[in-house]
Parts: sequence; C-alpha cells; structure tokens
Amino acid sequence: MTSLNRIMSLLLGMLCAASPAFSHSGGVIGGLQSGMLHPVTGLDHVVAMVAVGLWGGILGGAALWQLPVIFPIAMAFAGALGALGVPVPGIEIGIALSGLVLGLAVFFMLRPPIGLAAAIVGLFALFHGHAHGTELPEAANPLFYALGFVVATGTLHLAGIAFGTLMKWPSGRIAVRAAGAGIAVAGAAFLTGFA
Amino acid sequence: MIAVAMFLILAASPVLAHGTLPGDGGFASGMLHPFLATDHLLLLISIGVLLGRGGMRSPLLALLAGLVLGFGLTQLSLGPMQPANLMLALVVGGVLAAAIRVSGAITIATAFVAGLLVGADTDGPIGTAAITAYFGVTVAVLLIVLNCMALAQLGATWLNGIPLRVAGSWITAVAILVLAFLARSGLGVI
Repeated sequence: MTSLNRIMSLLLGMLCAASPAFSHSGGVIGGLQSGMLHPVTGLDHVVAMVAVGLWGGILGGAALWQLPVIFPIAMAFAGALGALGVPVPGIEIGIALSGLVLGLAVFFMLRPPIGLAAAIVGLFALFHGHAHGTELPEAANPLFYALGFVVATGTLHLAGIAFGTLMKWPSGRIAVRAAGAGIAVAGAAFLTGFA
Repeated sequence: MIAVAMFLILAASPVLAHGTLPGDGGFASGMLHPFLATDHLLLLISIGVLLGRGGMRSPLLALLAGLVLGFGLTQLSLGPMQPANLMLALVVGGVLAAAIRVSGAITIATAFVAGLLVGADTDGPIGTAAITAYFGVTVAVLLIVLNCMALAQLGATWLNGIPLRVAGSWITAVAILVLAFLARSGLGVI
C-alpha cells in the first residue's frame, strides 16, 4: 500500500467515524466559520457568484474588479433590508433569473458598457443579499459572521475570475462558455422549479 | 490637552461597555480590548488601510491624540458607540472601494474621530491602574493600524491598488451587515 493510499484510507475511516457538525442547526450560531458556510450552501447562489466572476473576466479591464467590488456592497445593503424584515417582491425569481441571465452573458460572451454590466450585477446582488439577510440567524459574533459571509462570497467571485483566465487559450474559451451554459441551464431549472 | 486627558483618565470611572479579561485590569486586558471589540477592529483596519493608501504618517498623531482624549471621555457614559464605530468604518470602506482621494486635512480629521471613538468606547479600571490598561489599548491600536498601513502600502502598488478597493468593499459590506444585526437586536450591545 502506497503512502497516498494509506492517507486516503485513514481519511475515509475518519470521515465514516465523524459525527455531523450541524453548523446550520439554527438558533444562535458562531462566527467566521458559520458565516463562510452560509453563501456556499445554496447552489442557486453559488452558480450566480461564480458567473459574476466569469463575466468580469470576459468583460476584462476594470470590470474584472469593479463587479466584485460592487456586488458585496449591494448584497450587504439588501441583506440588511432582509435582516430587518423589509419585504422585497420576487426574490426567488430574481435569484433564479440571475443564474440564467449571467450564465447566458458568459455563454454569449456579451460585452455591454461597464455601467450596464454593473447595474445588472448590482440588481441581482440585491436579490441574493435580501435572501441571505432574511435567513441570517442570530450570530454569536456578528462581525466575524459577516466577515466570513463576505469573504466566502468574494472567494466565489475569485473562483469565477480564476476560471475566466482560461480564456487565454482556445480550449479555455470553450470551457468558460460551457460553464456559462451550465450556469444558465441551472438558472432555468431553478426558475421553472425543476431544481 | 494631554494634561486634561490625563486628569480625566485618572478621574474616570469604568464604563464596562464590553468587558475584557475578568479580574485583569492591566496591560493585557487593555491590549486585548481592540481585538475583542470587533467594531473597533473593523474601524481600525479601515483607518490603517486609508492611511497606508495615502502613504501618510501624520494622521497617526491625530489618531493617538483622539485616542487619549477619548480615554478621558469614558466617564461621560456616552452609551453604546458601536453604531458610530461601524458607520465610520462603512464610510471609510466606501472611500477605499471607490478609490476616492481625500485631502490630508480630512484624513487627519477622520483619524482623530476614529481615535476618539475607540478611546471613548474603551472601558478601564479606576485610577492609576487605568494608565497601564490604556497603554495596552494604545499599543494594540498602533499594532493594528501600523500593520494595516504596511499591507496597504504594498497593496497600493500591486494590481493598480485593486486589493485595496476590494478590501474597502468588504469592510463596507461587513459594517452594513453588522449594523443590520445591531438594528435587529434593538441597538443593544452585541
């Protein structure tokens, strides 16, 4: 048995023996770790965050960082509205639409003016932020929870940006467009209730 | 001003807005305070990045002056100051995210207000023991701000300062979310 196999066997054994952590069991939750887990637990959120990064990569230039700078602020603003119970209609539809629209933008490699792209991303950030804000539990350490939440969202954007750098190669462009198509299909599935 | 502040510090009664180490009123408690009072931490990080981005050191003196004066104001029981700390962090983060250039006077004023807020929101023991505790707070404030200044100076020359804009965006987003938490809990101390 190689060293790798031994390590894998050990890890598998530990995984099987592990008890669940129940980080989202409700009630008062912890800090950084819980905050970081929150944005990555919903696939509809994850695909849209990655799409923001991918689209930023396609738009290039200032958009590469402007979209990920605008998104957290808009998302936090809407998150605050959600946490305070301010109703916003059509949240779930907006979230599903974000996956569809951003996925299609990536697939077709659309390059609108940066202002329009920022407005689209900012609008969708409101839907995602409000949904997160509504679900926000009482945090034992609100600042570290919020920090984890924002950093995890930013990391998802970064994942999209990093994936978008593949466009330097012809096969990479195909991979990025395929990812956009996949995100659009996922968005359509969320929109129509298939997922 | 220093003499007045020293008098106020020695005459100050403990505020205990958010406790440090129970039973320890000395240097260690003071030093831990800005790290444990997370709204202070966020504000100081934002100030450090702002000062580092501008490459200015003179606002550090304003920060320290505000801090010392703030220590003297603890006896006034100004109430929960977390909203003010977070609001200032929110604004400074927005300035960083939008890459707005601010004048030296505004930077100095901002640093002074930040120091004042942190100082006035710092609890401490009574009498001479307060000096060591407040000295600990001052050391911690300098540690946080100087480290952030150094990192920001690096970030300002890397990728056209994009990391600083992202940092500003994240600071503002965190401040907004924590303010929402505060508002939801009825502006109680969290």
